[in-house]
Amino acid sequence: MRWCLLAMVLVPSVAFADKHKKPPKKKPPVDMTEPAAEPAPAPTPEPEPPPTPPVAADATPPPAEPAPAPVATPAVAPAPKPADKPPEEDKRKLFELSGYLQPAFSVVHRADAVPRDRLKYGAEATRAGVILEGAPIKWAKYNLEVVVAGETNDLVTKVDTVDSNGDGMPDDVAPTTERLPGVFVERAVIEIEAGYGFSLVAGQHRIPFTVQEQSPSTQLMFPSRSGPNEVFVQGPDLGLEVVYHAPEDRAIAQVGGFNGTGEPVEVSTVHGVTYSARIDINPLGEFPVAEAANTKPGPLRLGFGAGILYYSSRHYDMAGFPGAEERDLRAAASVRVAISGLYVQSEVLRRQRTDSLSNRPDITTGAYVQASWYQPALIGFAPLARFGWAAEDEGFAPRTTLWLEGGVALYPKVSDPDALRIIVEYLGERRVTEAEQANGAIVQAQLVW
Amino acid sequence: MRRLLLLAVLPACLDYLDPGQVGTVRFFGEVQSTPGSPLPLLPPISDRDGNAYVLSGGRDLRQVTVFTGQAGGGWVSGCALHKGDDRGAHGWVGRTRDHAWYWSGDALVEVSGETGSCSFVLDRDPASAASISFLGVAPAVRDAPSRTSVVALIQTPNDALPFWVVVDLNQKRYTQLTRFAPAGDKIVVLGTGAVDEAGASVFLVRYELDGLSYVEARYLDAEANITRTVPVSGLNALGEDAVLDFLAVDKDGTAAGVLSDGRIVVFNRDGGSARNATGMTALGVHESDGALWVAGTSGGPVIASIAGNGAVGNPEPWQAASKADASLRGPLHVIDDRAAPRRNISWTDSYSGIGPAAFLSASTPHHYAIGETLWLVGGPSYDAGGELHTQIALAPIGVSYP
Repeated sequence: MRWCLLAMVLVPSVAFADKHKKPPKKKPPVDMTEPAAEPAPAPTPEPEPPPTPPVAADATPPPAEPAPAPVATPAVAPAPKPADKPPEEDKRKLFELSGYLQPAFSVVHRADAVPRDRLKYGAEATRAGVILEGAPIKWAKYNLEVVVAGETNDLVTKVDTVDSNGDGMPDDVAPTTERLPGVFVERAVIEIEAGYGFSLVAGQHRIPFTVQEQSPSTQLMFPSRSGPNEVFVQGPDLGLEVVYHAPEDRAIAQVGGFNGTGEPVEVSTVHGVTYSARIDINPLGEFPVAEAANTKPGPLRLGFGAGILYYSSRHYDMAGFPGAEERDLRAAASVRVAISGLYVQSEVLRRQRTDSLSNRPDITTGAYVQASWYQPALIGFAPLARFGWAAEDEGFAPRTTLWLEGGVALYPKVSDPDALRIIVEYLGERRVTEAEQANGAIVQAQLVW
Repeated sequence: MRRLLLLAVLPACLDYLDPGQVGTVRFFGEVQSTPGSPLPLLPPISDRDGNAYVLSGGRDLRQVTVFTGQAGGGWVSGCALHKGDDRGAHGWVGRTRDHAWYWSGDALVEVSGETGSCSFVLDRDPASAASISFLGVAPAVRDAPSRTSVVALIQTPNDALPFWVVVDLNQKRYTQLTRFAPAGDKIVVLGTGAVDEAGASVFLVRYELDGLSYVEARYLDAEANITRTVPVSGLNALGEDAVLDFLAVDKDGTAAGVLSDGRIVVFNRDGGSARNATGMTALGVHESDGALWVAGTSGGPVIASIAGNGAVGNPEPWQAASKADASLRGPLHVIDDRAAPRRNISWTDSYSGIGPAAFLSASTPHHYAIGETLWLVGGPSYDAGGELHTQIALAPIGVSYP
């Protein structure tokens, strides 16, 4: 894993503080010194006992650490702290279990498709996520997010050979497939703090290339990321990054190395490392990447950012001999502004891929702008709008796509708007080059627990 | 301007080949030919993934061989699907992300860029099992999210008249069946051309009705609906596949091609005719940036513009073709890319594998990258039993039109 070696060179010591990825208003992690139920004055017994950790061993601290009070004991006063340490330093949070459910119904009409595919509707976009996180050591945390998505995988259950002329030689194959839910690891990382604002993240997570890619799925402004963003970077990858947070998050810098393929190196015929770097400047102070958080009323915040990915790889044939070398450079620039419930975010993206064999650069350019304006009333509501553009294969056969989205986000509980959100939106995709368009609508509810 | 601005903003530079400059040359196989005759090669094509496709064949040959080069290196050959004994290979009609299709004889054949495997498209009618002849196929594969399709004129032995159809290349079915009209005799396709990326096309057809011969240009949209029919004069004596390779079509719908008798046919949505090229031997008509050009020779590679009214300009030396031809004559550094492990070799006696000089193909050279095309290079050869075996390589070359 070459990216590990790279990271070790870059980081003399390890640390972590993933402030930017943490959605606001989350419940505090399960604390070995406090009950896990509703926060309340410590001496007052809670009406309900906190959940018991699923694994008893979790409640047992490492021998070198001070022994905390058992988690399973409800409504107990905090255990006594060692006299030589402040109480904050002694907190080790074994785990916090949280999650979300995103039932969604979508309908898409594509007039030019074959009759079967002309009108598609269903709840395939439904997702559910379970997040487990904690800090068993005071300077090390972990975060695991597993997503179950509805009917996203086509599993081949049977393959028949077709011998249409009866000569004994198969002319074709006829596979039988079955659609099944997919289970994905969205995030599985350990995070280590090194002090002085430096930290390190290792594991599987989304490459911090664009500002939208860093936003948690539950904190997106729309049910999904923008079309242009998905053209340039998609899904989590295995890697390691070093993060620096300046005071008040006025600047955040991230440098990392990733597999680039999203799969272990050993099974791939393409070997390489993706290097990533991103810097965000927030001149007016903390400005999280969580999009939904920024749609709520607040002071004026500004954010400027730029990211770059460089993927250098070599292809190998099935016999294991080397083929072409490939260089893939992607760049992104972002600007964000939020004030009084109005949030506008825009990014410009560019990709240039070259190799040692083809003499044909692969060029793609894209951009999007999205805005939301939150208005609290009896319920909270926020009109949404997004426009995206991408021009792929510009050096070969340009293919231009436009996306237009518009809708409204409803927040039934104004006092805690992120707990439940309902989005109703129109989604239009216009394939300019192929003179084809699709129109659809999505209704998504999101319950965070 | 937009490209320059983007390049200035982003911290990376892209290198394109200069006109006439030869890129990485990949030696992939051999072709057989009769000594003294041109190599049986048609202009290659590539797909979006970067796989390359080479078709060895010709209008007078009744066999083809396909070579498929993977984007990451390595080649596969062996596909030789062809149909019919009265027509030769026409050429590649289009590509998607990792597939390409060629029209040879009466057959439409799909080739996979990943594996090099190939298969007939609609070799037989799904309903009657009758053999389908592709009388004409538009070189305009429409690669859209909804479907991958191409417009064609097909006929089975059971049909008195051919049918305009949309061929779904993924499902291998035809739809939008429309009978050819009027109900004439001896219906043949002289040539086809692509009008746009959205699948629109033009067919040059000849038929007889009540003892009279008619030649018409029929413009079709991607759904095989005829949007315009115009007469084209001067072609009544020509037969099937009279247009060499394919017609070239400019942004306004003006189409042109070189005929088998050496003349040029030019027409637009109001009609047209065949005419002689003056001052040059016309070898092909090319489209570049929405304009049409006649490519040929006159003591060297020359080129002449075609105006919107069909007028052919005066030929002028084609500098890019001359420079490329000089570069191809070696010595060339060549990668033996036939099988791993690859190795570097050198060719000292190489030349353009298509036409008498570089870029002198009958139809538009493949748009490979900005200012680049794919070309074939002939290398060392040997005589075996009266057959000439010539090594062939693929090379990107910088190209420009005046």
